[in-house]
Amino acid sequence: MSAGTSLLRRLVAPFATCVAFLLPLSSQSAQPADDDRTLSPYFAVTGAPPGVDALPLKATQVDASVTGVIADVTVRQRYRNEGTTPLEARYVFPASTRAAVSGLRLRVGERVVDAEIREKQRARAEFAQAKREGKSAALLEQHRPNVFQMAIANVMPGDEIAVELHYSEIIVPTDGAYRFVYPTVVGPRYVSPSTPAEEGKPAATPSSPIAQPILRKGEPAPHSFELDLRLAAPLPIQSVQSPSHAIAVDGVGADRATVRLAPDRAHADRDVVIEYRLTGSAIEAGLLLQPGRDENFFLALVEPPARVTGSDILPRDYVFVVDISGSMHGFPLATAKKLLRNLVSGLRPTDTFNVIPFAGGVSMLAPRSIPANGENITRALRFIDGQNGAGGTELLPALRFALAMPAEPGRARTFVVVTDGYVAVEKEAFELVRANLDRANLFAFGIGTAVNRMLIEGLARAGKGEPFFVLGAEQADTEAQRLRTMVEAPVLTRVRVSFPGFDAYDVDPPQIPDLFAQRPLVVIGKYRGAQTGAIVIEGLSAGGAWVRTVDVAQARPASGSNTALRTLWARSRVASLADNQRLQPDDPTRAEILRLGLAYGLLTDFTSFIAVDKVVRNPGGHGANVDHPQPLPAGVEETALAAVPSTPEPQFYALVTLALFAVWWIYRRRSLREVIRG
Amino acid sequence: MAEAVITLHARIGKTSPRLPHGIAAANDERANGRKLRDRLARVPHAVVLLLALALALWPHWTWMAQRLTDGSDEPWGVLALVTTLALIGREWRKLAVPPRAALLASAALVLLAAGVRPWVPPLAAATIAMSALALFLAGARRDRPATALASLLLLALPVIASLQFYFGYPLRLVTAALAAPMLQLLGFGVQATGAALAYEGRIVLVDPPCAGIGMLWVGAYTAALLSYLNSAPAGRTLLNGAVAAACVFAANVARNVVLFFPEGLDLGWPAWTHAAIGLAAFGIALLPVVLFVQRSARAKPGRRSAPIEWPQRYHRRVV
Repeated sequence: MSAGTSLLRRLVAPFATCVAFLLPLSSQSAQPADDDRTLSPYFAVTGAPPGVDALPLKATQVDASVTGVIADVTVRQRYRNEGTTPLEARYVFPASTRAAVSGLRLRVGERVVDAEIREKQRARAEFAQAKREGKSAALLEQHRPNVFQMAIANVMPGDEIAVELHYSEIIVPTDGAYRFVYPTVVGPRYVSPSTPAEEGKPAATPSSPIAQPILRKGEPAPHSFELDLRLAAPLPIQSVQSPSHAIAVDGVGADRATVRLAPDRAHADRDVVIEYRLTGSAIEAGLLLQPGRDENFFLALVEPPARVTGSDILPRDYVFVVDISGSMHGFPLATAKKLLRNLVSGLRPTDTFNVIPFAGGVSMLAPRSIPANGENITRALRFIDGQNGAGGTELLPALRFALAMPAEPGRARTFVVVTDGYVAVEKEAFELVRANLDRANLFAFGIGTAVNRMLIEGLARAGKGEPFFVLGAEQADTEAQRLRTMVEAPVLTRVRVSFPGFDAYDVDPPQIPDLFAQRPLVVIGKYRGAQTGAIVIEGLSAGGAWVRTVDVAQARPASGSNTALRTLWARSRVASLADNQRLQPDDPTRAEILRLGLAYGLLTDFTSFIAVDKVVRNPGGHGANVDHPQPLPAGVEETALAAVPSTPEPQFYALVTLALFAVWWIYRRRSLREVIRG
Repeated sequence: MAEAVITLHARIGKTSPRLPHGIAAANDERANGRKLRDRLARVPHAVVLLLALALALWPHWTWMAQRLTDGSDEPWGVLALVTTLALIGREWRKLAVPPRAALLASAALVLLAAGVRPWVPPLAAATIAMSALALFLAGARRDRPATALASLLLLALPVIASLQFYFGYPLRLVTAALAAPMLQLLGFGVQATGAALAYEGRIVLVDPPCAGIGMLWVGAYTAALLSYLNSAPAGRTLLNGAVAAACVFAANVARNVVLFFPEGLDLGWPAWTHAAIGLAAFGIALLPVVLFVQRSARAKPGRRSAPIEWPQRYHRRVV
C-alpha cells in the first residue's frame, strides 16, 4: 500500500508538469489572419503546403524598342501552376522611374483579355469579385512610381498564364551617352517604426510600406529573366555596352542595333543598364509633334550649350550626408567610402565641409563645417573609414539635421547625399528638401546594383541638383569628378521657355531647373492650332546669355513611336503633380491624378489595370495565396532586412556549450573531491 | 584419452577433409541463433516494453522529425532527447518492469495521445505521448528523479516556435519596461515604447530574437539536467527550474541594458562583442543556478534518490 502510494506520489509531479505544459497549447491551431502580414520586407520561408506551387512565376521576358529618344517596352510575365491547388499569385516588381504604363494584357491559354483602367479601389473590388466567381483575373497596381504589384487570381493547376504590360519612357542622353535601365529587383525598403506616428498618416497612402518576401543572400531569383532591345537612331551607333550584365550586341556601326540578354535566373538580382553612344557622341535633339483627334502633343529636346569653366569660382561649403545603415553593409559602403575619399580629397583649400553619417541615429565629423585643409581632410578620411554598416535608415532625421546646420554667409552650399535609397519615405524626403533647402543645391548619389532610383532622382529634382548612380567601386572616381565639374561649372542657369506664335499649354515641367549635366532640356506639352511659331529657350551659361530657338514648322513628321507622346505627357504631368503636392485623400491634386489616369489610360497611385477572363474555372475561388519572392539585390547583405537596431541573443550552440561546460566542471570538481576523500 | 581427443580434434581442424559446407553453415547458424537468444534473454523485459512503447508513439516521432526538418521550429529538442537517452542508456540494465499502476497509466496515455490526435494540435498530442514515456521511465527507474526526466522529455518537443508565439511578446514587453528605468538610472533618458527602447529619436528594438527564449530554454535544460544528476525530488526540481528561469530572465534584461549602448548610441562595436556580452550575461546567470542546485543537493540528502554514479572511466582520468 505504502509502495503504491509512494509510486503515485512520484507519478503525480511529472504528470502535473506535462498538464501545465499542455495548457497554453489549447488555441495553437488558430491560423494567423492575412491582415497580420508584416508591411516591411521579410525573408521568404521556403516550402509550402503539399500541392501548392509557391513559385508560380516562371519567366520574365522584356522586349524593348528604342526609336530616337522614346522607348517602347513590353514586359511578359509567364506564370505556371505546377501544383495541384488553384493559386492567387502576387508579385512585387520594379520599373523605371519614368515608365508610363499604358496597357496590360492577360493570356489564359488561347484566350486574350485586354485590361481596363479603373479607380484603384474599384479595381480591387472587381478583382475580388472575379476571384470569388472563379474567373482568372489580373490586377496591376502601383505602390510607387517605380514599384508595381501584379496579382493573378485563379491560376489553375497546369495553367500557363501570361501577363503582358506595356510602357513607354523618354531616354534622355547625359554627357553624350544614352542609358536604357531596366530594374529587375526591388531592394528591401526600411520602414521606420516612428514614421507613421510622426507623420500622422494612414497606412494606405501611396507611401505605405511594401511587404515583400526576399530570398536569402546567394539564392538566385526563382524565375528566369531575358531581355531583347532594338535600337534605331538617326546616326550610326558608335558603341553599346553594359556595366551590369554580359550582353550580346549586333549592329554596332550601323543605325540599327540589337542587344540580347539570354534567359538566366542570375540576371534578375540587379538593374540591367545598357549604355550606347551615337557617332561623335552626338545627341538627338529636335521637336516631335503628335496631332490627335482631341488634343495635340509635342516633345522638344534642346541641346544645351557646351560647358564652360568660369574663372571666378566661389568658395563652397560641402555637406556630405552618408547612409551607413545595414543595407549599405559590405560592398555598397566600401563604394561609398571610396567615393567620399575621392570627393573630400578633391576639395579646394578655400572650401569648407562636414561629414554626417546616419543609420538609426546621426553623428557628424564636426559641430560646424571645417576648412578643407590637409589636416582636416586626413581627419575626415579616418572618420569615414571608421564607419560600419548597421542599423536602420532614418533618412528624414538625418536630412533635417543636415539642412538645419548653420551656413556661413557668402559661401555657396552644396549638399551631397550618398545612399542606396532603401527607404519608404520618398515623398516626405522630397517635401523636406524642397521646404528647407534655402539657396543651396542637393546632389544625390545612388550606390549599388539595384538602387531606389525614385528617391535619388526625386531628391536631386527637389534639391535642384543632379542624380548620380554608382554601380560599383570602379565608377566612384568618374562620378566624383563629374560632380566636381558640375558644381564648378553649371551648364545653364535661370532657364526660361517661351512659345512665340505657338499656342502651347499644359507644358511640363512648369519651370526648368538649372542644368548641371550636359544633357538636353526636355519640354513636353500640348498645343492648339497650326504647327507654326517657335519654342525659345533662354538661360545663363558661364559664357554669358544663351538663347536657342526651335522652329515649330520645321518639326519632324510624326512616326509610329510618336503616338506615345500622349501617354508620356500624362505620365510627366502626374509626376509633377505628385512631386509638388502631399497626396491626401481629399486633395484636389489627388482628384486630378485620378482624372489623368482614367482619361489617358495610365497606371498611377490611384488607378489600376484589371483584366478578367469570362470563363468560370474555379467556382468559389478557393485556393492558396502565394507571394512570389525576389532575390536580395547583388552586393546587398542580409543586414538590410534587420535594419532596426536590436539586441539578439547569442547563438544557441554557444549557450549550450557554456551550459554543458558548467555541468562538466561541477562534476569534475565533485568527482575529484570524492576521490580525495577516498 | 582426453589428450587423444584433443589431438584428434586439432588434426581434424587442420588436415582432415572439412565438413560439407551446408552442415558447417547450419552449425554456425544454430550457434549464432543460440547466442542471439541468450543475449535477448539477458535483455531486461523493461527495455523490450520501453521499445514497444516508443514504437507505439511513432506518429508523434514522425511529426516531431517533420517539424525539425521543415524549418518551422528549432532543432534544439534533439539535444534534450539525446540527453535523456544517454541518461537512461548508461544504466539500461537496471531498468525494471514498472509497477502495474505505471504501466496502465502509460498505456492509457498512449491511447489518449493517439485518440485525441485528430482533434487537438499535434504539439498537445505529442506532450501526452511524452508524458506516457515519462511515466513509464518513472516506474522503470524508481530510484531516479522522475520530474527531471519528464522535464527533459518535454524539452525534447519542438516547443520553441510556440514559446516564442505565446511568451515572446510579453517577455519582450517586460524586458523593455525593466531595461528603460535601469538606463534612466545611468543617466540616459530612455523610454520603453512597447517592446522597444526609444532614446532621442532612435529606436532599439527588443524584437523576437531578443526575447530570451533561447536562453530560457537552455536555462531550463541545465536546471533539469543538474536536477537529474543531483537526484532532486519533484518539488526541488520545479524550484530549480523556477530559479533558473528567474536568473536567466534577469540576465536577459541586463544583456539588453548593456547592448543598448552599442546599438542605441551607434558606438560601432564589432559584431562579436554582442555575442560575447550575451554569453557573459548567461554565464553569470548560470552561477546562482548551479549554486542553488548544488546547495539543495547537499542540504537534504535524506530525501534524495540514490546519487548518480559517474562512469569509472571518468574517475580514472581524474585520478
